Amino acid sequence: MGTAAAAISPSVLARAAQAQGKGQVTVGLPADILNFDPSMKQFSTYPVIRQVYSKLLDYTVAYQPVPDLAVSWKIADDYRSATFKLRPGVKFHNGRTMTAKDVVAVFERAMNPEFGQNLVTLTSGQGMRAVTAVDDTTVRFDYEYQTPNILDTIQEVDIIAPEAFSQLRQTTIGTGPFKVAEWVPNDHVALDRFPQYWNSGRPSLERVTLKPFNNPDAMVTALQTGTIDIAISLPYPQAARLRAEHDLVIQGDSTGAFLNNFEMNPQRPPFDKKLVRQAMQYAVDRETILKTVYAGLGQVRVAPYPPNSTAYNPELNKRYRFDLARAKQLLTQAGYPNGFKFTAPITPASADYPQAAQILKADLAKIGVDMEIQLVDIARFVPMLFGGQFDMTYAFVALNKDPLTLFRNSAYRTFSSPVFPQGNFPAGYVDTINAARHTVVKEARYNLFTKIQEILLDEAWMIPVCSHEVISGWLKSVHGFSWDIDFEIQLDNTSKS
Amino acid sequence: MARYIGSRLVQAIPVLFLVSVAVFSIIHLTPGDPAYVLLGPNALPDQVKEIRAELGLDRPLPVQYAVWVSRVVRGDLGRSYLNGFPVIGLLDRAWPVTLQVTIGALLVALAVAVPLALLTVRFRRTWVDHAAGAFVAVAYGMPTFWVAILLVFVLSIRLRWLPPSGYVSLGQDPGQALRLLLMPSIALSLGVASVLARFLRATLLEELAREYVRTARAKGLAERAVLYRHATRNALVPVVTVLGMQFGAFMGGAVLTEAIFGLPGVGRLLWNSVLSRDYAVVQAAVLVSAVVFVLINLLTDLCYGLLDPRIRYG
Amino acid sequence: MVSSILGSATGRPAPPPRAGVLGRIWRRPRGAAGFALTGLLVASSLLAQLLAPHGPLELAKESVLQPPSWTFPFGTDELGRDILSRVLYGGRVSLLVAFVSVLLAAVAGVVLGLASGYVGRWWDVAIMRLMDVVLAFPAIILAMAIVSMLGPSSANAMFAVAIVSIPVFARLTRSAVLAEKEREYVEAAHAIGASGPYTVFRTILPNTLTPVVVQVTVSMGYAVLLEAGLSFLGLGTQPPQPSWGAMLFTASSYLNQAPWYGFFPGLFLTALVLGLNLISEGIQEAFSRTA
Repeated sequence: MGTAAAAISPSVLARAAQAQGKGQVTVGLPADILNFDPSMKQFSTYPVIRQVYSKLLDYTVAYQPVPDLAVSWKIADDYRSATFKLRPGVKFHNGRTMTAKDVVAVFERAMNPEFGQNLVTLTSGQGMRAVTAVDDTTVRFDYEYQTPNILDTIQEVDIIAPEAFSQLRQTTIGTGPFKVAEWVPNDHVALDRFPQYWNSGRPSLERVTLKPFNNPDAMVTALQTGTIDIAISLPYPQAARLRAEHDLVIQGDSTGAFLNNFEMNPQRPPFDKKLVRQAMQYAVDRETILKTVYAGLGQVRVAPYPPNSTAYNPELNKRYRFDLARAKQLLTQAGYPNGFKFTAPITPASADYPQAAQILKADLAKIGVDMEIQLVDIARFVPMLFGGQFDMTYAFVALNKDPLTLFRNSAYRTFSSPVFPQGNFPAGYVDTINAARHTVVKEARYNLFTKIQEILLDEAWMIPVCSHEVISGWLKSVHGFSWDIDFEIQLDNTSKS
Repeated sequence: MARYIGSRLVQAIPVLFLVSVAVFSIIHLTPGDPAYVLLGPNALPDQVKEIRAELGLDRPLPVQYAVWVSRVVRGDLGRSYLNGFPVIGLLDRAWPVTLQVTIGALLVALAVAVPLALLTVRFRRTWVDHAAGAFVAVAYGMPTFWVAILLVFVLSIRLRWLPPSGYVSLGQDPGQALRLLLMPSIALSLGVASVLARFLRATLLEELAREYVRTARAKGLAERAVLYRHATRNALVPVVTVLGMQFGAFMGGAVLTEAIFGLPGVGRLLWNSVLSRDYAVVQAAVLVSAVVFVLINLLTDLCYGLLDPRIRYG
Repeated sequence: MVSSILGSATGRPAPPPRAGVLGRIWRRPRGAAGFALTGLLVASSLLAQLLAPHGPLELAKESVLQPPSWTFPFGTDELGRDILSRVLYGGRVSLLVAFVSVLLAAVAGVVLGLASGYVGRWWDVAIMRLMDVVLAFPAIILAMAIVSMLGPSSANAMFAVAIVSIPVFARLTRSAVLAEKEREYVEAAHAIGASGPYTVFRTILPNTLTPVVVQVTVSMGYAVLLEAGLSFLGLGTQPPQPSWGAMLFTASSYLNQAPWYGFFPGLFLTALVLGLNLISEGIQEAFSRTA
């Protein structure tokens, strides 16, 4: 079984690779990371997360749980608690051994409204009540109610050394395969191999450099010229072309989990009328947007869930289609025979947003609806969103893992909703979602999610357009590059030939 | 002389004070703040309130201004609102990049403008003069970012002679560093080169008509010697002005050029910070660039004094 | 801009403008070329409706990023729109912003400069220091900040460009006023008991006009580029309205695939700035004293 390999220590192999220039990989990113704090992680930070942090468990792209810092777990029959057995001897980047107490501290921070930031909704917001260290290597999680997606709530949290809690903006101490060497904002993040990573033999790379590119075209050229080895989130028009190049591997994530929607604000006329919103559903040319903006890399959606989700119901996708005549008919019925005017603030950070908006605008113009697009940068847009100061906008939602994931998005959630600020949700919406939160029986859940989607389609304030793939490209000399269900890329098994 | 410098520096104080008020007000009055950028669109209002309190953004604006200014005068430029890095560190990394591109651009401009000006003076009113004039006029009109795009397309994408973007410090890898600085320098230099060329030509012509030149010619010195020795030195006055102004302008950050070429300089730092409302960085960077502007102005005026004996400061 | 500042700083007064001003400029080859080029661009933008083969907002969903062809002489963009039509219509924005913002800046700047130069004393110090504050900001950053504060739109971009352009006019006018103040006819006017404003308007102002006019054309060149830069950064014209700067920005993402996309807007932009500068050179040649 490869005694020779076992005789040569992994660090020696790594150093040998380094000497040949093969121990180093440069990854191109579309944007700089925000900071190292997982409670604030956004899509731009994802590339660095799996390199420096590990979780108790992770999911493969096919939503299969994989043990990571926990070797095994048991979920109680009443789905109100789960006990995890931790892997012994896991070391933090500063050399200290991880214990159950550390895990407890991390989860308590995540649940704490003062420090947990975006993790609060994902943990206590989904029923997590308490975390206790049963002994040095066992942790128990307790829940308020029967929680069908217990594993999801635990997979969301990255394990950090509690002593690093106050420095998470600039650096961190995790248990991942790499540790932070340096971060020069707007320039690069350098990560060094962590020799005491629990999965000995990994990683084989000595160093990983993450470089943000302001200009996506420059990133493509850098990949083509070999200046970078891997590029994340390639622009769509280029992806198809690059596939033809011989020394590149281009692959998309095909989970269908990234959904784009138009979002209407039912507090603002004329979108306060259901018929008007339904009319808009017929005005969106989903096929064209998918083809033109996303180079066909994705799938058209009418109902939000992708085919591989447990809530997927193919009948629901037949509810709407592109039909301007029908849209016009509904508008006339609603009392707007001559159309109307509205404004749509759109964030230009991602090139597809303004493009999709312009396609809709052109189609709406044909039925007398005047859509005024305003490019608004993210810092200005988020408060507008929170305050409901928009008629319509365009946004993306991640729908991986349990179907309940959809409801952490501000447009879909059942509390502090910018689109239903007074809590005047459509009849049955909140109750059905809460029921789905507390039901563990598969069949019952499926029916509940079908009911929720029917409400969503009927009330129609969200217009799902299509899913888009996130395309990554890498040189043929790079092997073992992969990502998990959240599209957090993994370099622990990556090597260069 | 010392008194002149002193009085200029004293006059600079109210200017810098006003700049500080202006930049603080403008950036704080722009809708949106770093808390929203940090948390993203799916955050909860309570969390936003938490972060704003942590960053001190819930205090009244005049208080925030006073706190900032009191730190600045003690030399503390604060920390980035987004990542907590000391602003001085961020600026320290950014300004050498901008400086290198600035110097590169000015060198290229001189390398193009000086021979061009000399040529057109030597062959004035011939086709050489007119051709050069046309070239200069067109070069002046070409927007920097268009030139940048064209250069990238031709030299990098089609010919693959130069890498398209990125930055490497001179200390680390001089060869690659120079290759990466070449295109941005060329893109930035065209505007300056045309202004310089025209200036030099005008002043050289002026000088050549002067008394002492005619005397020198009468004495029998070769045309070339006359040109180089006497006229050129006095033509340096406007050159110094132009270079000074351009230096100040470039150090403010050639935002667009840095964006296209991926140069982590002051321009890009400023742009990203304005977009993410990183107040500390924007305020500090603008203040520093204002100080540079004032100092450059002072230096160029002093250079006048050195170069032109008629201009003296008592 | 630099030449004008330097010119007035060295105190070279300009002769008063005479009748047949346009005629004098026209006769110079540079001025003529400038007028012709600028005129052509202005006309093509104004007549865009007649000249453009397609609507600037017309999406042809099937023909995205096509190279130049008979149907689409400049090719198509990422949403299948005709680039030629968009360049023609886009010119309107550039021209409008350039003319309006610079005229606003000129009026404001001249007024400030007159007040500063003529009234003098602490008015002068206050106004000049204020101008210094504006100048201390890198132009694009100040414009960016103003537009970010007010909200992105062509109108706000115009306002921001105007603000950034004021100091040049103020300084220029002030130098010219200072130079003129010494002249005999001003003293003569005072001697016969003419009042302040009379002196300003009837004697000083006409003599400061020439450098101001030159500066207007030069500043217009800068204004066009600044507006393009703001649109490039997403702060000017909003989609789907075409603007040369915004087109250049989008084009920079498609350099590899569609190099024609960025070529044409940049060409027109260069031509406009070139035209304006040739006009300014024509004016300078027509009126300056040759060495």
